[in-house]
Amino acid sequence: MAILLAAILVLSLASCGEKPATEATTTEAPAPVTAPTPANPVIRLSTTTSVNDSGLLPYLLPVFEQETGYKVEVQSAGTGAAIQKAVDGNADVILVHAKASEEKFIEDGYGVERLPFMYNYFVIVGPKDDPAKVGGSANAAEAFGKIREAEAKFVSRGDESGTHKAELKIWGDDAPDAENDAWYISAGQGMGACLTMASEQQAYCLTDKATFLSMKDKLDLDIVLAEGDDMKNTYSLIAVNPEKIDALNTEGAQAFIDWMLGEEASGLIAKYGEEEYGAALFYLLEK
Amino acid sequence: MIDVKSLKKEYGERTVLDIDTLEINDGEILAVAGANGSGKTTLLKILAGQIRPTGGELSLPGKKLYMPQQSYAFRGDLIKNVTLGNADREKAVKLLEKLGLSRLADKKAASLSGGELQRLSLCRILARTADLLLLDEPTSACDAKGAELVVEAIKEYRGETRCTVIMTTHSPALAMNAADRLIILNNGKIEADGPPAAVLNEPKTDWAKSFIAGWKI
Amino acid sequence: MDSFRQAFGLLFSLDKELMQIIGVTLRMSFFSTSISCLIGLPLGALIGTKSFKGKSFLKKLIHTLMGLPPVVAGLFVYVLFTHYGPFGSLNLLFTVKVMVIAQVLLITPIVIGLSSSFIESTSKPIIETARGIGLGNGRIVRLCLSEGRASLVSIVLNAFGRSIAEVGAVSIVGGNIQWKTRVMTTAIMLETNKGKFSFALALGIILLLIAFIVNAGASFIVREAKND
Repeated sequence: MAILLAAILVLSLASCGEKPATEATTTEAPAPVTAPTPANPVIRLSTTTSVNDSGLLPYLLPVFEQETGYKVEVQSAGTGAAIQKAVDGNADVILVHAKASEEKFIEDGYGVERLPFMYNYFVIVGPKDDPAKVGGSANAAEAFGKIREAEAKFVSRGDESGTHKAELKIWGDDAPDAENDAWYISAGQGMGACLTMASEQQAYCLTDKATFLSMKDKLDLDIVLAEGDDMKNTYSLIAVNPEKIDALNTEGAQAFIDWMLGEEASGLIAKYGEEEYGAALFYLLEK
Repeated sequence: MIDVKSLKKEYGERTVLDIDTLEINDGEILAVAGANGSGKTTLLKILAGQIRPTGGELSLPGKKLYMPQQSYAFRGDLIKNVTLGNADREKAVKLLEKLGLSRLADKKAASLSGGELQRLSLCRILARTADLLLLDEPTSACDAKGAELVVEAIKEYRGETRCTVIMTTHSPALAMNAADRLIILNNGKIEADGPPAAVLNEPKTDWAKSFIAGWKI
Repeated sequence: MDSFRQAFGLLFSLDKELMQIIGVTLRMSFFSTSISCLIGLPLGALIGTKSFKGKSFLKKLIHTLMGLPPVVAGLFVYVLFTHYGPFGSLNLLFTVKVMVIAQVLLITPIVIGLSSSFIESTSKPIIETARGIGLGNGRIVRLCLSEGRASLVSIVLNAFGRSIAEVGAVSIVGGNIQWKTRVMTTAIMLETNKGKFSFALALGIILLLIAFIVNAGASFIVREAKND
């Protein structure tokens, strides 16, 4: 029992040292709202964990909320769930990164228009000594080939998230099979949990750069491949179609999209991460 | 002979039993009376070895049987309950008859009423042999007829085995009809001691007088 | 409705992965339940029957631990078994074994708490009566077990129910790895995160079905035992 109590104490101390959780679903405006409150002030945003966990939304939303008087309720989940929530009528606007799913969403009539607006790069992270000699590969496909050849451990999201879909696309037709390939670990968890697992097991992992950088201190991993033509990760905004789903805050969704695509937000996005990580985490698409 | 000297039981600051000396002759039926919380059950449980005293000396015969206030109905019929732990079956049948339970002998014990269960519990005790019987309020749940059967059975058992019987009670009738001797406890101390008739009719202290006056006869 | 059809379709198709997940789930729950009961029942009996110094504090502690949030149990075990943790060299993280360990931590206090209060309320009169007629300790223990069979089974089922329905601890220490540590609850979480809500619900129905079969089996055993 004494050990247990001591451990709880240690845990609580350890957690004090960490950054405050970035998962807050609503962000409080630091100053009194200056804009008049809109008729329907609540915007439901369904998005992927990477945008929220990297700290981008908690960084942007207070500014938006203060300027417009809207309140954004963020639901963050994998891309699959993020889109499904909109299909089920539980979101006004989505911010995701899986082109094929997004196109299907629009094709099925749920989305108005796909508006790609920013991107970053997936990176391959792995053990610091890079046992499969992935570093220096021309692109992710080549790196994956080396990992497969070496049968080095590889942690896959396995949750049909945008990152998982991007990973599967890189593997191509002949993706490893978790049942028979013991080195291929299909974790079925979020990015953070997968990175932690990769660190524990000294495995490779495909991740968005933002999440990795925000967790780097706690991981025993390095970026082994940072660039490649097949590693671009594009984020899009899509307003949910009011002709298909009722009781939407279409006005709010449009206001949010306009603001996000506007100059002020662009400036903020381009700067985000420079201070903390020494490099921007997201880049704006050329308009 | 049972010999009790400076027996004490304390729960923290509270003393629940404090007996200087108590001698009980072999073959005697002793009734122990007193208000709730006066220490009757504590005394009985200490003699039964169910709880340990805080201090004092005890000299007790080897084989004793104890019947708690709350009778427990074990799984199975009445016969099975009485013979539990290989007591004699024939004896069990006789005892059930004696205590007016023979027509229920093959019924489940769990289906008995409180008074019936108490008599069953007594059968379970009387089916065995011992030098000392310790009975905690053996008639508390019985009606007049049932209590009469209990008294008869206890007396008969004593007659056959010459064992000593100590029982607690809230019933003056039980003390008068069954006991050779009655003691009354007050706050863990013996306040009156003697033949039941003498104790009840000629109380020696003011406290005993008021207690007996309040005791329903 | 769709979920029900999907649930039965899955079950009858004997989907290989689903069968494997059910297998891991049952294996984990079986060991978690057995070990928790092996530790918890004797301790509960001890606490229920003996009086000792610090007992009321111990009972308060156990009652607190009965409400231990699964994620906290999971975190605690994670910290112990992480690569650089005190037991990291055992290489148990992300295995079914460590999931069992976390669940034992979670369930044992529940077994202790339930069994000690059961013993206190039910077994005390049994012990008093049985000792009163001079029965030996071995016999008394057997009597308590046979008289309290129904309650004991319900304690074990409680432990089992907690184990099979638990997701917080097992996802942290098990990692929800496909073909290895994925159990019904973490699979449901995963399908929910994928947005496949009706498939997740189908898995939930199967989980309930498993729990129902186990419960029905146990109550059948109790009824059989009562009749003898």
